[in-house]
Amino acid sequence: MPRPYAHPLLVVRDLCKNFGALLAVDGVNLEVRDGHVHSLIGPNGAGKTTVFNCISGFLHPTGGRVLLNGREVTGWPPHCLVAAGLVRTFQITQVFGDLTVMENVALGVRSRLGRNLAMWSRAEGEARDRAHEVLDRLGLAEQAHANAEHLAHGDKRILEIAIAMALEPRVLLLDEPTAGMSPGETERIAALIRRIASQASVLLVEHDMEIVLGISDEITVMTQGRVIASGTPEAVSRDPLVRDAYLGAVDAGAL
Amino acid sequence: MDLNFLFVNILNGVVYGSFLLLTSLGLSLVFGLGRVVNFAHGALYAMGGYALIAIMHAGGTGYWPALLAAPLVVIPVAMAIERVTIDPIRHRPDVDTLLVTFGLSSMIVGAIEYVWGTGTTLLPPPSPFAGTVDVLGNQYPLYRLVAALVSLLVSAGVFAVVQFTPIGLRIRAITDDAGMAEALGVNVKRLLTLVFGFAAGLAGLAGALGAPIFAIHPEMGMNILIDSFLVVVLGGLGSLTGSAIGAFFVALTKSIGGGYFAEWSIAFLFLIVAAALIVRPTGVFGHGRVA
Amino acid sequence: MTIGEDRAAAMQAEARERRITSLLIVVGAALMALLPFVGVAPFTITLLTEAMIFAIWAMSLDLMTGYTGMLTFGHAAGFGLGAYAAGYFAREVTGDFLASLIVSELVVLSLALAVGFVVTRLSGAAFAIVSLCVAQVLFQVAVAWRSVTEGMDGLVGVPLPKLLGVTIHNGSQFYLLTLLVALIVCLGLRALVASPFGRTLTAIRTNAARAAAIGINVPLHKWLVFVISWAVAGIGGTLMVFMKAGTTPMSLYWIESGNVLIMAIFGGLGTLLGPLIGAVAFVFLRDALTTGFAVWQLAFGVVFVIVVLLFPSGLAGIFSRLWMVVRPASPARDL
Repeated sequence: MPRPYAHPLLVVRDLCKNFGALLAVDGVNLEVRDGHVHSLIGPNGAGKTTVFNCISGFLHPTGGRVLLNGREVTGWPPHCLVAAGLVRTFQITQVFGDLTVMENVALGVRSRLGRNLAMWSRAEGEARDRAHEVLDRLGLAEQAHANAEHLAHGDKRILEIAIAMALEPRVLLLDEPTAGMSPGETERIAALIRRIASQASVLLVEHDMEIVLGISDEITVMTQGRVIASGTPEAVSRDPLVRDAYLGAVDAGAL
Repeated sequence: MDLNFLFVNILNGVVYGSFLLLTSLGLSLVFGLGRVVNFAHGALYAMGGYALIAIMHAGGTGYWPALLAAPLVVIPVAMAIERVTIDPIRHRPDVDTLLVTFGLSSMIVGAIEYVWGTGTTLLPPPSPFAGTVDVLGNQYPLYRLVAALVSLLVSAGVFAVVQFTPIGLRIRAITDDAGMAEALGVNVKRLLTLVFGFAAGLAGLAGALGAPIFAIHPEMGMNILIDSFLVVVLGGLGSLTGSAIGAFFVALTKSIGGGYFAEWSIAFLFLIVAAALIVRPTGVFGHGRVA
Repeated sequence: MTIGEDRAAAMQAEARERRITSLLIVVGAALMALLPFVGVAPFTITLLTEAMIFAIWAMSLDLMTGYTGMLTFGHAAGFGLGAYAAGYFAREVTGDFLASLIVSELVVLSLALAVGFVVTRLSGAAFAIVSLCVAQVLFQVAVAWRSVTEGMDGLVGVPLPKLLGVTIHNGSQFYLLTLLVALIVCLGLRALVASPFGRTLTAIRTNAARAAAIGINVPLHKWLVFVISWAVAGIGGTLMVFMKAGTTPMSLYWIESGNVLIMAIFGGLGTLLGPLIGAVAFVFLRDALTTGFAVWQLAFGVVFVIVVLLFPSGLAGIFSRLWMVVRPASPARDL
C-alpha cells in the first residue's frame, strides 16, 4: 500500500537541459516517494526521455539538481548511480544478446556484489544462485539457459527488469516498459511493477494512460519540456490542462 | 641560421602540403559523406603512380597525356570496389569499413608488387619543366612548383564544386544529416559511389603528379596515407577548410621540423595529433564529425 | 530432475568442460615440448618458437579487441617497446631472462598506464586511429633516438638469455622456454577471461552504455584491459628480442600491427585459442609463401576482405559464429 506521507527518495529540482538553442527540459520538478510508483507521462517530444537520461547519468543537465535519499547525485556517471541504488532500464530493449538469460542477470548480481574487478576467481556459485532467484521471482526461470537474443519481445522486457532488480535498486527507472507489447504482456508487466514497488520505488515513463492510471500512486504530466500537472491519478485525470494535452487519447470512460 | 636552408625547407613543405591537401580532401569527403575511413586511400595513390608509368610504357605516350589518363584508370576501379565491398556493409559499425579498406589496401599493394616487383622506379620530370628555377637566390626544381600549382588549382576546383554546384549542395546536405537527405529524395547510394570514385581520382592524380618528385614504389602511398589521416583528424573529418589548414600544418611541420630536428619532429607531430583527437574529437582546425 | 538439480548438473558439466580444455592445452604443450627430441627439423622448431611468440602477442590483442571490442591499429607498440626495453637492459646490464623481463614489463606498464588513461576515453574508429598514432610515435622515437636505440640500424648485440644462471641457447632450449611462457600466458588469460572481471569485458563489448547502466565502471575497465594487453604483448617482445638477438624500429611499424590483427581475426576473435592458432598459421603460411611475397600480401588482402564481409555482425559475429562451430553438440550454454 502506498504511504502518502512517505519520505521522498528521489528528488528532481528545477531540472533543465538544452541542446544548443533547443530547450528540451525547462524547470522540471518531481519527487518519488518511498514505496511509490510514480509515472511520468506526456506526448511525444515532451522531454520525458531527456529527463530520464539526465537523472540516470546519460546526459549532463544544463541546470537543476537530482537528489537520491538526500544525497546530491546530479551529473554522476551511471555506474556511480547504480552503486548508490539508482538503476534504469532502456526503452529500446538492450539485453546482452549473445549471453544467456541467466548470464545477463548474473552480470547484474556480480555488479551488486562488488565483484566487477575480481580477476582471479571463477564467476560462478553465489552469483548464479542469486541470478536464479531473481529469474524465479520474475517468472523467467524456465528460460534461464536460452540465448537472450531469442526471447520473445515481452520476455526480453522482463529480462531488462530482471537485470535491474539483480542490482537491488532503491529507485528503479523504467523507460517505457510496455512499449510494443500485447495487452496480455502489458498486464503481466503492470502486475510485476506493482510487486516491485514493495522492494523499490519506481519512476516510470509511459505513453499508455490506462496502465498509468491503474498502477501509479502519483503522476507527473509533461508537455514541451515543462510539467503541467502533478498529483494522484484522480486529480490528474480531472485536470483540464491534461485533457487538452491528451486530446483524443483519453477514453472518457476510463476517467 | 642558414636562411636558404630554411627557405628551401619551407618550399618543400608547401609543395608536399599541396599534395597532402589533394589526398586529404578525398579522405575527408568520403568520411564526411559516408562515415567511411578509407584505409585504401594510400593504395589508390600508388595505383595512380603505377597507372601513369603503365600508360607511358604501354601506350608509348609522353608524361602529360598519361597524367590525364591515370586518374581515369583509378576511378572506375575504385567505384567497383566501393559497390562490391563497402556498400554492402555500410550499416555496420565504422570499424568494419576500416578493416575492409585495410584489407583492400593490402590487396592493391600486393597486386602492384606482383606485377611490377618491389623495386623503386625513378621518373624524370617532364620536358617543359625539367630544369631548375631561381627562387630568391636558390635553385629549385621547376617541376615541383608546377606540380604544386596544379594540385592547388585542382583542390580549389574541388572546393568550388562542393560550395557552388548542385551536386556539392547534396554532398553538404548529406554530410550534415544523412537521414534528412534521403528523405529529400537524394539517391544516397549512388552519390556515395560517385564521391568515392571522385576521391580516388584525386588520390590517383596526386600519385601520378607526384611521381617525378617522390619516386614510384609499391609502398609509396603509405606515408602520405598516414599523413592524410593526421590532416583530416586535425582538420575535422568532413571539413574541407580544416583539411586545407591541416595539410599545410602537417607538411610544414614535417619539412621544417625535419630539417632541424629529424625524426623527433615527426614523433612530436603524431603526439600533437593524438592529443588533438582526444581533446577535440571534432577537429582543431575545422569542424567535422566525431571520428 | 528438479530445477535445482538441473542447474547443479549444468554447472558441473560446464566446469568439467573447462577443466578438460585446460588439460588438453597442457597436454598439447607437453607434446610440443617433445618435438625437438623426436627428430623434428631445427628450422621447424625455430618457426614454432616464432609462432609461440606471436601467439602470446595475438592473445593479448584478443583480450583488448576480441573480448572488450577495442579495435587497435597500434598493437605493435607494446610488443616493440617490450623488445627494446628488454634488449637494451640485457645488453647493458645483464642477460638474465627474468631480470630483463621484469625491467621490460616495468617500462611497458608505465607507458601503458599513462597512455592508456588518456587514449581509452575514445572508442571506435577514433581509438583505432589514435592507437596507430601512438605506435607511430614510438616508431619515430626508435628511429630518432640513436644514442639508445641506434636508429634504423636497430639494436644489436643482445646476449643469450640466462635463466637462473644457465645460458639458454638458440634452438630447442629457447624453444622450450618460449613454450613454457606461452603456456603460462595462455592459462593465465583463460583464467582472467573466466573471472568476473572477464565477464564485464564481454558486456562492455556488447553494449558499453548498458554495461555502465549495470554499474560497471567502463572507463576503468577499458584502462585496465589496455594496460594488461600491452603488458602481455611486452612479454612477447622480450622473448622476440632474445630470439633475434636484437630488434629494429620495424617491430613498431604499423605493418606489424596489421599482421597481429590478421592473426587474431583469422584465428577467431574472442576465443583466445583462435588467435593462438591464427598466429601459428600465419608464421607457417608466411614461410611457405615467401618466394612470392607479393602473392602473400595479395592473397591475405583478399582473404581478409572476404572474412570481414562474410560475417554480418562484423567483429561481434565472428566470435559468436566460431563459438557455435567449436561447441556444436551442447544446448545454449552459459559462458
